[in-house]
Amino acid sequence: MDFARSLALTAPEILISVSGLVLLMVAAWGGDKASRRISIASVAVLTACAFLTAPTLWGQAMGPDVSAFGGQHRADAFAAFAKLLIYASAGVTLIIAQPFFDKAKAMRAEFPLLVLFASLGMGMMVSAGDLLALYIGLELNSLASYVLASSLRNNERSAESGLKYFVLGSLASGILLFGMSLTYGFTGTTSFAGINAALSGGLPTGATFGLIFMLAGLAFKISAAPFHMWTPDVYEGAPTPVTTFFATASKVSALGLLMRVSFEAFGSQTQAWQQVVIFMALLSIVIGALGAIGQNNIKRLMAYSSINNVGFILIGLATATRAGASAMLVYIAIYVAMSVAGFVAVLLLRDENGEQVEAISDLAGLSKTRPWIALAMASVMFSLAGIPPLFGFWGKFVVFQAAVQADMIALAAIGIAASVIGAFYYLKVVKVMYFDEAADVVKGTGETSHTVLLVLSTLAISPLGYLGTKCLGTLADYATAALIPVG
Amino acid sequence: MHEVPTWVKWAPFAVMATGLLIAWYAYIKNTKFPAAFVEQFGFLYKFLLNKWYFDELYHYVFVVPAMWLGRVFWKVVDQGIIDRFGPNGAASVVALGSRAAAKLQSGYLYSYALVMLVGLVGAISWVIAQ
Amino acid sequence: MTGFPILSLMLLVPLVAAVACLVVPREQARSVALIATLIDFVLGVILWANYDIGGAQWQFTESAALFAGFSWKLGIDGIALLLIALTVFLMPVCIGASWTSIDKREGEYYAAFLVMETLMIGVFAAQDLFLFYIMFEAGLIPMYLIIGVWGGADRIYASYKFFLYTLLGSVLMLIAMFWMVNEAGTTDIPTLMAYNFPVEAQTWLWLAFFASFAVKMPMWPVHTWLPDAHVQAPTGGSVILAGVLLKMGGYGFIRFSLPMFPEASAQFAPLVFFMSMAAVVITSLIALVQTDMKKLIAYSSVAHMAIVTVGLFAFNQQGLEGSMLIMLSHGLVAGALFLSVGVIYDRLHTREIARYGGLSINMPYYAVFFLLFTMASIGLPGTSGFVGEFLSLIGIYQISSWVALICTTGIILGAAYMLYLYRRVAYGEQKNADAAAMPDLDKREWAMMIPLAAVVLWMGVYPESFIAPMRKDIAALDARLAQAKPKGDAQPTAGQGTSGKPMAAHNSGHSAAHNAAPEGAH
Repeated sequence: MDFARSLALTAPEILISVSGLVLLMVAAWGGDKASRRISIASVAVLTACAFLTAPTLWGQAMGPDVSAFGGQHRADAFAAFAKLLIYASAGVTLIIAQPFFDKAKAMRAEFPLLVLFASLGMGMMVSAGDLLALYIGLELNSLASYVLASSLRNNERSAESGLKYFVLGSLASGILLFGMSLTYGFTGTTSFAGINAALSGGLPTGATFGLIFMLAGLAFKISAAPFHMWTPDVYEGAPTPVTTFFATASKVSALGLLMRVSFEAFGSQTQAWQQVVIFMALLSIVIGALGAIGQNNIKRLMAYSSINNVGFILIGLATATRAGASAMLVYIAIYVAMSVAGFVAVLLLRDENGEQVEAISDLAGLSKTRPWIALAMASVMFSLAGIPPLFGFWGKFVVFQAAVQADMIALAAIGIAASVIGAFYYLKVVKVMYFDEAADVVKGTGETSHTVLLVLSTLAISPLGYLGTKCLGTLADYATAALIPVG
Repeated sequence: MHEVPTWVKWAPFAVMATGLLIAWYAYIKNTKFPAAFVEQFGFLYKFLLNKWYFDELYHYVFVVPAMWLGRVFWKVVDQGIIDRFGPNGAASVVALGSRAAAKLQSGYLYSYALVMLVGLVGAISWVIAQ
Repeated sequence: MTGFPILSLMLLVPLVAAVACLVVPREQARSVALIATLIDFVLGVILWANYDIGGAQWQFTESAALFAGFSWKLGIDGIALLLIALTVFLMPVCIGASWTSIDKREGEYYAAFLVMETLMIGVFAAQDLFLFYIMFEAGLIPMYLIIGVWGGADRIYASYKFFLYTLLGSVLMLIAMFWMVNEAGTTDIPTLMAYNFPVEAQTWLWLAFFASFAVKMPMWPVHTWLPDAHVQAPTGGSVILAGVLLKMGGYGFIRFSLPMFPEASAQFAPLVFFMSMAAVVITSLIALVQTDMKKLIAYSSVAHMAIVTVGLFAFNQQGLEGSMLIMLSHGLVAGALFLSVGVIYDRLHTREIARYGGLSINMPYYAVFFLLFTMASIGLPGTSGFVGEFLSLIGIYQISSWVALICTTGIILGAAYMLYLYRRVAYGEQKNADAAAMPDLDKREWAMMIPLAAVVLWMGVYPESFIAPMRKDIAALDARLAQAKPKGDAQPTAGQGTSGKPMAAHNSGHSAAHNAAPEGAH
C-alpha cells in the first residue's frame, strides 16, 4: 500500500484537518465577527466530506484495499456509514448553534472549529484499525467536546457540565488506556486484526482484564449504565446545540468504535464480552427509564432517554451476529433523526424574554399555543418510546428481531418489557403538552433554519420513514459486511 | 300426560269451584265476611296479601347477596387486589425505583466516579468468575 | 372489482381526511370527518357487495413489497369483512355522537378518530404479520389522546392505564412474532395460519399472544383498564372502544391463536374457560352495583366478551360462529348503549343513574330505543344479542356442560343489571326536575339511532346475512382445529347415543340432558 493511496483513502480527514487549520487562521485574524462565515465554511467542508465518503458506502468498500497507513485507518463502508451520520449531525449542530449563540451573545469563532475537529476525531474513531489510531481519534474528539460543553462560559451550569465531563472523561480515558496497554501486553500488537489473530486460540486472563477495561472506557463514551452518571448533568448543562452534538455525533462515533473493537479486535472471543454487554444493555434500559421519570427538565429527560436507547442498541451488540450489528446501525441512524428532531424542537421553545424553555411543566398546553411544535415533539416522544407507526419503532423492531434470530429470546423479552417503563415518561411529556391547561410560557418564534430542520427530521421519524427501511437496511448491511466479513 | 289418576284431572276444577264459592260468599252474599276474616286471621291475611312473602324471600336470598358480592368483587377484588397489586402496584414500584435512581444521581463527581469504578470491578469479577 | 385496491383506498380516505381536519377551520372539521367516514361506509358496502361468498378464502388481496422485513399486504376473508363492515358502520355514528358535544380542538379530535378508523380497518385487513402488529399497536396513540384530551375528570389516570396496560400486553407478542417468522420464514398470515409450529414452542407463543389479546379483549383479571377508559372517554371514544377495539382481541384469537397454535389452544382451553367463567360471574355482579351508567355498560362488556372467549375455545363451528356473532352484536349494542348514555349525558352532564328517572315520560322515543338496546344486550330473541349467545353456549355445551352452566348465569345476571338500569333511568317517578325537563331525541340523534336499531333487529331476525360470509372461513378454522380438538363431556345424542367414544355405552338409552351430568370425565 503506497503512501499516495493511503492519503487518497483518508481524503475526508485530510480535508477537515487542512480546512480546519485554515479556518483557525481566519478565526485568529477575523475574530468573533467571522464566526458566521466560519460556520458556513465548516458546513460546506462537512458536506464535501460527506460527498467524498458516500461512494465508499455505495461501493461496499471493504477489505485490505481500503486500509490506509498499514491498517491503522480503514475507509470501508462501515466507517462511511458512521461518518455520514457524524457529518450530518455536525452540520446540524453548526446550523442550529449560530442563532442560539447569537441570541446569547456568546458566539465565538472557535466554536465551529471545535465541532470540526471533534468530527475529525470521530471520523478517525470509526475508521480506526489500531488501538493507537483509536486513542488519538477518541482524545481529539473528547478534548474538543469538553470545551464545547462549557462554551457558554458565563453560564455556571455550562461550566460545571464541561468540568464534570472532563474529569469523568479523563477517568474513562485512563481506564481505556489501561485496558489497551493490557491488551497490547498480552497480545503483542496494537492492530485489531493482530489482536483478533492472537486471541483466536484463547483469552488469557490479562487480556480479559484488558477487554473489560476497554469496554468500560467505551461504555462511558456511549453513556451506557453504570458508566452513564455524567450524562444527565452534561446534557442539561451544556448549551442545547452542543447537547445535540453529544446525543448524535458523539453517540454514533463511540458506538461505531465499540462495534469495531468488539467485532474486529475481540471478534474471536465474543462470549467473553457478550454477557457484560447484556448486563450493560438491560441496566441501561432500566436505569434510563427509571431515571427519566422524575425529571422536569426536557434536556435531562432526553439524556436519560439516550441512556435508555443505548441499552436497546447494545442488545444488537449482545447478539454478536451480523444481523445484530446491522440492526444497531439502523437503530443508530433512526436515533440520530429522533435526537435532532427532539433537540431542535426544544430550541424552538423560547419564553417572552427569548430565554430557552426547558422545564417540562412549562410545555403545558403547548398543543394549543404551538400545535405544530407540539405535534413534532409528540412524534419524537412516541418514536423514542418505540410505539408504531412512528419510525422509532423500526429501530427496536430490527434490534429485537436480531436478538430473537440469535436465540436470545429471554433477553429480547426482558428488554421489550422494560421498554414499557420507558413509555411512561414519554407519555408524560405528551400528557403535559396535550392534556394540561396552557401555561402560556412559550412565546418566541424560531429561525427558519430550525423550522426546516424540524420538519425534515420529523418527517424522517414519521410513518413515512418506513418507506426508507429498504434503503436504510441495505446500507446498514453494506456497512456490516465490511465490519464482519462473510465467512 | 297419560296414566294420571282421574282425581288428579278433577282436582283443578274442584279448587276452582271452591274458590268460586268463597268469592261468591265473601263479596256477594256476606260482604262483612272479609273484614271479619282479616280481624280474626290477620297474620294469614298479611301472608297472603304479600304473596307468601316470596318477593322478600327472593330479595334476601338473591338480591342482597348478589349486591353484596358485586360490591365485594368490585371494591375488594377489582380495586383492592387486581388494581392495587397489578397496575398501581407496578406503578409504585417504578416510582420507588425512580426515586432510588434520583438519589444515586447526587451531582457529586466522586459519587459518579465511584459508581463507574464499582461497575468496572463488578464486570471484571463477573467475567473472571465465569 | 378485481385488481382495484379498494382496501388501500379505504385506508387512505380517512387518513387524508385526518390531515385535512388538522388544516381546515375547526368548525368544518366535523363535516370533513363525516364525509370521509360516509365515503368509507359506502366503500364498505361496495366491498361487501362484491365479496364472493363461497369464493376464494382471501379476496381483494393486494401486495406490494414496500418495506424491508415485511410488506404491504392486504386481503380479507369473511371474518375480516364483517369486522370491517362493523367499523365503517360505527364510524359515522361516532362522528355524529361527537357533533355537538366536542367543543374544543375539534380538528385534532376528528383527526384522531379518522386515524383510528384507518388503523382499525388496517388491523382487520392486514395479511402481513408485522403490518398487523403496527396497525394493532398504533391504535394506542389516537385512543390515548382521545381519552386524555377530551375525556372526563379522571382522564389522565385512565389514559395512562389504557396505554401502558395494553402496551405491556402486546410487546411480548412482538417477540413471539419474530420467533414465528424466523421459524416459518414468512410474514404472510395465511401461510402462517397453515404452518404447524412445534407443539412445545406453541405453548410460549400462545402465551405471548394471549397476553396481548386477553388484555385487549379484555378478560378477567386483566380487564381493569376498561371501566376506567370507558368511563373517562368521550361518547364517541367509548363507542369505538366498545364497538371495535375490543373486537381486535377476539379477532386476534380467531386469526392467530387458534389457527396458528391449535395444540396450545387446546392445552390452555381450561385456563380460558376459568378466566371466562370468573369474568361472567364476577363482572356481572359488579355491573349490578354500579351507580355510573358507563361503568355498568363497561363491566357488562367484559361479561359479554367472556362468552366470546368460551365460544372461541369450544373448538366447534357453533361456538366459533356464535362468538363472531356476539362480537358483531356487542359492537352494535354496546356502541348503541354508550350512545344512549351519551344522549342523556349531553343534556344533563352526569352519568349518575340516580340523577335520572322516569325518562319514558318526557323522552318516550328515547326510551323505546334504549329499551331495544337493553333487550339486545340481554339477548332477547329477535334481537342480535340472542343469536350469538345461543350459538356460543351450544358450542361450549358440547365441550363442557359446567362451563355452559356457569356462563348461562351471565345471561340471567345480564338481564338483572340491564333491566335494573333501565328501570332506574326510564321508569319510576320523575324525581329530578332537570332530568324531567330534558327534550326528546333531535334529528341528529334519530339519524344515529335508527340505523343501529335496524341492524340490531336485522341481525336478530335474519342472522343468515351475517353468518353466510364467514361460514366457509369458520368451517376452515374448525377443520384446522380438528387435530387438537379436546374431548367434550356432553354428548348430544340427536336421538340416539352413537358416539364412538368409551362413554357410548353409558350414553345409550339416556337423554342428552342426563349426560350433561358431571360424570362426563374431564
